[in-house]
Amino acid sequence: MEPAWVALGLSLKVALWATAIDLLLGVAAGYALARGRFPGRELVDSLLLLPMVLPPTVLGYYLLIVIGRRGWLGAWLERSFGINLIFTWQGAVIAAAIVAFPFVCKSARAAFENVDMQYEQAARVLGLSSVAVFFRITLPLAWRGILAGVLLAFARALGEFGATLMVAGSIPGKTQTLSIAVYEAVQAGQDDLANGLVLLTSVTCVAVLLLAGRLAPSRIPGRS
Amino acid sequence: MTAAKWEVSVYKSLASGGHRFELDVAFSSNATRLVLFGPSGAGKSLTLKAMAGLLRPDRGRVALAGDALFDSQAGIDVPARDRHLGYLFQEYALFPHLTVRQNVAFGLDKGLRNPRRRVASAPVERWLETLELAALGDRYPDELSGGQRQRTALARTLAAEPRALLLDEPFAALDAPLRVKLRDELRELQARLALPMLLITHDEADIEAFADEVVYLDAGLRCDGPPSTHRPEDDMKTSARNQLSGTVSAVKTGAVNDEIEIALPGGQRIVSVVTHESAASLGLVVGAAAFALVKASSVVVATDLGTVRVSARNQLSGTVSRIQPGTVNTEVVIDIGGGASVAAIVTRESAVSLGLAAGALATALFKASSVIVGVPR
Repeated sequence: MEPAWVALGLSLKVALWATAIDLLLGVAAGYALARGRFPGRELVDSLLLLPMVLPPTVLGYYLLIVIGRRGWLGAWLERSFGINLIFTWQGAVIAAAIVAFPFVCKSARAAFENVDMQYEQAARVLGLSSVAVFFRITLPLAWRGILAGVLLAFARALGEFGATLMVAGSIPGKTQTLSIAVYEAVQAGQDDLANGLVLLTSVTCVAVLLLAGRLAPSRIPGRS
Repeated sequence: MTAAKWEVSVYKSLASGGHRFELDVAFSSNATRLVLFGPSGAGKSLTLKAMAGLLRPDRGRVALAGDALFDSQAGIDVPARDRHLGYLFQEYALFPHLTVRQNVAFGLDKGLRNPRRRVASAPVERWLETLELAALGDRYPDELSGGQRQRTALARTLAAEPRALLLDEPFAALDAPLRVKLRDELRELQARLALPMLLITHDEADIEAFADEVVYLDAGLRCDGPPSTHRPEDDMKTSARNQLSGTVSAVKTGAVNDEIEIALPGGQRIVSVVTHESAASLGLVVGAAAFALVKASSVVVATDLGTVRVSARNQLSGTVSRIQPGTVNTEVVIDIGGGASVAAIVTRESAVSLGLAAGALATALFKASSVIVGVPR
């Protein structure tokens, strides 16, 4: 079962990094979409939701085009910094982050739109800067909705398969996450390993859900 | 403090849902206690928002004691946070995730973190004491009564030491007996602090209580096209007994549904919930003419709400003008002022036990979701 634990550790590492990136980018994008007034807002919204709709393999292919050794970003990274993302766990993080991004972005946008602007106006009149209003009013009131999206994103990142396989491959101990390890074990006829991996995955998911229930703030901010 | 000089002249063109509106208001006064009086839809709230810096006029000037807060010609537009004005919102806008004490302490520290639940600050405790909130410091806004909410909002505003106080219909959210009590309290507080104050209202009792001077505002908000004298309900037939026409006075946009507030000629308001889509297709924006349809069987009648708090958003008070007893049900008609009335069907038994008779004070209650909104053709 040694490889299973390695795969689990890798899955958690990749999913946590991907979720952390999505939290920052998703909240920023969700806020811009909810409060910003700029032309093409709905088009941007649709584009940001694409990863939810496109098959992960298609996303993986796009990623290869962009960050692959001959991709326009990948070639530049390699030339300037000697960085190569393909077949690395960092590549897997990028794939998982992109696939899970819409969950955070969409729920953050809805959560921000649900915050009554009168609270923000009241805070401004009381002398707060826009940044202070965001951190003291908008974010706390939207937090529950954002957290729900973050948990979904984490779950999605944990189970990510297609795009990760295309970008990061399946290198045991390096890029072979749980979901990929399950596939490999079944293909190789290693039923015992597959059983163990599947059980481990299920237990991990239940544990994450239980933890999420604990972390969620008990107090629901009411609306007067 | 010497007398405040209010100087306001604002013009703004607002467009939404295919309609165009113009806010065009100008007044100046030396009164310490100034009341802006007018029917709903006259642009009073928008004027107050422009003064506070929450709405940017297309042109005009807002000055307090000669100190310009906004001046389109001089290119001055002081941000809301630097205007040092106290603003009491109609529904108080207490921060729901903070306790009463945290709400009151909110404006004292302008940093990135909210005050702690156990914030210990002399001015905060003093304001809690002054407004009889000392025992309620750890409560959340949704655990407060209407009067307590208003006092918390006042304490929060005053703790930030504003140079003047702007009040948006401060008593509209309260029931009648409480209104009288809190009016007295506010008058006393204002006299003690000698703080310049501008209050907007459509209730004449507020003028009597507060006004050193009154500015009458009747058409600050103009809609394109001549105002219709045609009663929209004449054009249609519906089974709803209650057809109340008025003007949309507020639109609160949600993710799926919008909350539409319709101000009736008598000054009372109806709140209804409609989908985003219908609100847009009907052109329900502030200032638009609209009417509300309510089935008589959806209306609950109350004679004395006292300390009872109900979830029904619509509470129209008036006097019973007609009682029509049937064999099982009784029809009660309540005159809600402004020439409008609401009919309710209640069982004969409850009509008797409530002691409903012509001339009795009564309140008609109905849920926001039981109101259908229409617009004149």
